[in-house]
Amino acid sequence: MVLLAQDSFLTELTRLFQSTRESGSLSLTLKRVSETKDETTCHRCLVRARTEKKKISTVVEAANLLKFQTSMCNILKVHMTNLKRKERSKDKKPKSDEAKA
Amino acid sequence: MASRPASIDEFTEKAKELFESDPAKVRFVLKYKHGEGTMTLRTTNDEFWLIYRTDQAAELRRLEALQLWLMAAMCAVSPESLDAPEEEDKDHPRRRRGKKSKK
Repeated sequence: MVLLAQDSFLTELTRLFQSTRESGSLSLTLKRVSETKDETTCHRCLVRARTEKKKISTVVEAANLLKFQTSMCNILKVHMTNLKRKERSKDKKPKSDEAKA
Repeated sequence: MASRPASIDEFTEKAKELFESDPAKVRFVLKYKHGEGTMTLRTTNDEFWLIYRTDQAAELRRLEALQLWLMAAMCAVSPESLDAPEEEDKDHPRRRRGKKSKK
């Protein structure tokens, strides 16, 4: 398990996605990590990604949560392209519908 | 024990409940198989499992919302205070983000 900085994690995550294009799978895990220091408990979020061959992880705190989540989602969207698109003949713009929902 | 919710909405709802019932132990796992074109979402506290499997691209959006909610909850930020970033960009880009980063 390699603990990476957030930026390197995202770069590596891209590589992991590419390495599973032919076969294999990628798991992404979210879990809370808590540390108690001077009677104050600090909660952060551990993000792990693993394929059959490699494991990486990073820790995200509240301050850069949104930034990280946005970047991570973009990576997911770019790479998780083998899911089925919804096909609706009467509705030509399913995407805008989704946005409202 | 495992439960397989029928829809992603049901999964989302139950996953949030499960997290709130046991925040220290609950983890969320997304497994994507490009070759099969499927993703499996799991939430567990090691006693109870929620499993949802799908091949629908449209559900990625729901997944993102759930991930954001969970990450916020794990960081002990009020999940409701973070709306989907895409919606914020139109009128007040980065406004809430600035507020959060000061914490």
